[in-house]
Amino acid sequence: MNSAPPAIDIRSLRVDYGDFVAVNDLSLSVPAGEVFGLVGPNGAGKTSTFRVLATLMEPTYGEVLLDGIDIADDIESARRVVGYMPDLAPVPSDLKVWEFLDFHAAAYGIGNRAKRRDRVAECLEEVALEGQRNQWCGELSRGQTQRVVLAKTMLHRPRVLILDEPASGLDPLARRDLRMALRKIADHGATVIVSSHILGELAEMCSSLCVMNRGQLLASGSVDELRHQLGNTNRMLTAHCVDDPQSAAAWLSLQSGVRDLRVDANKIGFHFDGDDHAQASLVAGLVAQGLRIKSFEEKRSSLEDLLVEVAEINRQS
Amino acid sequence: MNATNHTAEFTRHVSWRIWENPIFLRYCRSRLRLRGLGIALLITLLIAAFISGLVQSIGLRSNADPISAARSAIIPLFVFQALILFVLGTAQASGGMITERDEGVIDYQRLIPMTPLSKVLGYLFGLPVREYAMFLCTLPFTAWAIWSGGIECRVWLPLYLILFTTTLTYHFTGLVTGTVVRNRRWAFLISIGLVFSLYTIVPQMAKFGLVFFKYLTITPVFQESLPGLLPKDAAAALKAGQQLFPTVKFFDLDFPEAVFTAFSQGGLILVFATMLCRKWQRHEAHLLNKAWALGFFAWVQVLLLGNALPLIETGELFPSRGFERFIPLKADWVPTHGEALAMIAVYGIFSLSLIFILALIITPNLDRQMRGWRKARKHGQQKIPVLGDAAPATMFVAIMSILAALGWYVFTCELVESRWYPGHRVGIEMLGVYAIVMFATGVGFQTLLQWKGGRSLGLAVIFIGVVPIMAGSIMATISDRLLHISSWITSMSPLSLPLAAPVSRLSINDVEKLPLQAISGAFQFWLLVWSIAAIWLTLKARNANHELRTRVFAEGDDEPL
Repeated sequence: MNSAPPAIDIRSLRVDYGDFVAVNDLSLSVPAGEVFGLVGPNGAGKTSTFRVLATLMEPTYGEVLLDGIDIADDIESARRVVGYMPDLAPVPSDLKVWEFLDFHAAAYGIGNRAKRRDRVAECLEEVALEGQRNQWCGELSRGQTQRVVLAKTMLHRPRVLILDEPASGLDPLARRDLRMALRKIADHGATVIVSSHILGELAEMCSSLCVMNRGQLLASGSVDELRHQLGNTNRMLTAHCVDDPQSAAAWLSLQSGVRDLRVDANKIGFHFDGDDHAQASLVAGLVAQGLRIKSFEEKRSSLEDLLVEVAEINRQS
Repeated sequence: MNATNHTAEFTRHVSWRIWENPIFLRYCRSRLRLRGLGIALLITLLIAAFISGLVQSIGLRSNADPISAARSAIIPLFVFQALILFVLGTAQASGGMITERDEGVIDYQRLIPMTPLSKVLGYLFGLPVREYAMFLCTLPFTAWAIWSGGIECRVWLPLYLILFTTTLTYHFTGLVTGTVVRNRRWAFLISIGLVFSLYTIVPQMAKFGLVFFKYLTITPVFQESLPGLLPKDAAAALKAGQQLFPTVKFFDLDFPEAVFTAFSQGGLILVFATMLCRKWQRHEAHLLNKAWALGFFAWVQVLLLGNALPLIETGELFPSRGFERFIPLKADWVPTHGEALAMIAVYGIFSLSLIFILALIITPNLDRQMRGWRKARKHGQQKIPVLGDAAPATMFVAIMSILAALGWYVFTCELVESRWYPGHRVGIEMLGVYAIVMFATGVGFQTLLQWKGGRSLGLAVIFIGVVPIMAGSIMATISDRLLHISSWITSMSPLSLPLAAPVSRLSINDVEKLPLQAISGAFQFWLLVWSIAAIWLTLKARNANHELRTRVFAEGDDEPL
């Protein structure tokens, strides 16, 4: 049994801006070594949550513990374990890439000049930017800027990395590199919490996720768990019959969870509300009836659609 | 890299080792690049060389001896150096902070494990590092003028030391405005405007008894050093003329100008540094905590009195005496009653303004009070710590009001009972009147802010504070017959009470044309009204705070803290 405290422990967090509630009663716990994703549409409260986590904003109330340190009680110690990459990752335009990183390495007290140089080189290599060492920060592309800031965030080997929309503006190749870099960081024991408004993007890189909307946590867990918690186990199934689709349709219409049945030539399309086990039983039942099924297709609504749907319902409510 | 070696071991930065400060070094890198610095230094060198060469050749051409000719360059060079450090440096200090915030990189700096003081010092010397470099490249010309002009060390050393402390004061001003003011243009205008007003508007306050302000500039030390810097014949004339200038006295103590200026500026620098450290510690923190604000207020009162009181006996405190330097007055000059009343009113208004500013700094809004109660509940406390930002500030503003009344009373007594106004006395009841005036306005202002917030306070200041004064002033100028009613309307503003108090209650009020009876009646009526209002507001603010407490403590244990 692992008795170590969770790397990130958020309890009943609330963030108000005047009368506007940006984050409402958010509780989360992220174990060490995980890449955890926070997803939600714009205005969901992700950035406010991250700013509180990064000790840059005082919450209206609630508790946040980073690596067991209560940020309200010991902000200095909390800041030592945190690496924060903000949304739109700014860089100073008057410094070169190595100067920017060296400044932060010096500020974090990472050894002498030689040690700093080595660490800067190491981090640049991790984000595949060795070639841009002498380039002006202001002249970098959006993706390169993101990666420079990621390198800056990794310089002091933080135990908790907070990355706000790190993949925005990155091309697929850079996104893959980012994914690998994050995985590597997590493998070394650090915990990464990363946000995005694109669920697919996070699903690829995170071991678990949570969905936020209008300041509230809607669901958390693995992708499948999310789907379940969001109440959408609905799938579109299509059965291709060799013959006699009418008998198959008649049998199907009597089964629970089957709705919106349509027959088109030898093809029977329907929605099925049930989990994988129920679906397997349904297929077995069809075959047991002696109906000749050539193939069986399954189409689920994407997580992205799911999120849009949930956000829409939430907005209307 | 493995799990155990995560999070590097940090070396602590020692604040005073500026040369090792990463923020300072970061700005050395960016602002001392040959590309930008080269042009700046070239222009500076050209101007310094031009000033030095031109002034000296004019001196030689007008048959001055070489020593006097060399000396004549030092003042223009000094003005040029002061411009570089005061104007360009201050603009850079405030503008640089805003650029950091605009670019968004300031958040990175908040997270780096340096002490707040190290961060403040890094920015203080880092942001204007190019201006320091420009200043340094003018020094050879100054050194040459000092050496060839035979200027003594005791003349130039204090002057340049005070140039440095004044520079720090202004750069701190720039950093504070850059940190607090959100808009880049406003921050720039405010910081430069403050420096400009210190040399133009603020010295006028010295003419009304607030002598302390001139020590926030380099002017007193510059004036003191002037005879030693000028060519010999000009210096002799100036030395004679300088006898007319008041010398710095602090109560019964006699201070060299440079020491007193450094002392005054040092206090302000300490306050600014505290403000910035607090902001670096926690961005949402008040600029000053309550104890600091109270201490600062007391310190300013002591400085004001310490500077002003010794000048009463010689008459140098009075504005009309000051004019004597330029316009010869008749031999039997005495200050008028109106002059004394105006100076007493200015003292009261200034003290009240300072209370307002400090109240704005230390008063928590409802949101902060709520957070304070939640935190108290979390820690099992029944009260918010009295010095905490979330604690109500009324008690501290009330203490400030008493201190202000005391200072104001001492100033009034010393002025009215001086040899200039024989036969006039100030009764002890005046202390009570002053205390009520300060309490009614100061505490009323603070409790309204605490209870209803900045917007309501702003509207109250406009419609209750400013509009009656404007309306009353207009009416007074229309006709003498309207003076009576205009007095009632003007006195309706709590802001007019510090003026109405001495006018209506002191015996030196034989100012022509003033409808004293009306002023006195209106003052007493409105003082009563505003005192009741202040007490009512205090109770309201207190109740609102208690309601918040009840609400927070009534939340169930399962409710979020």
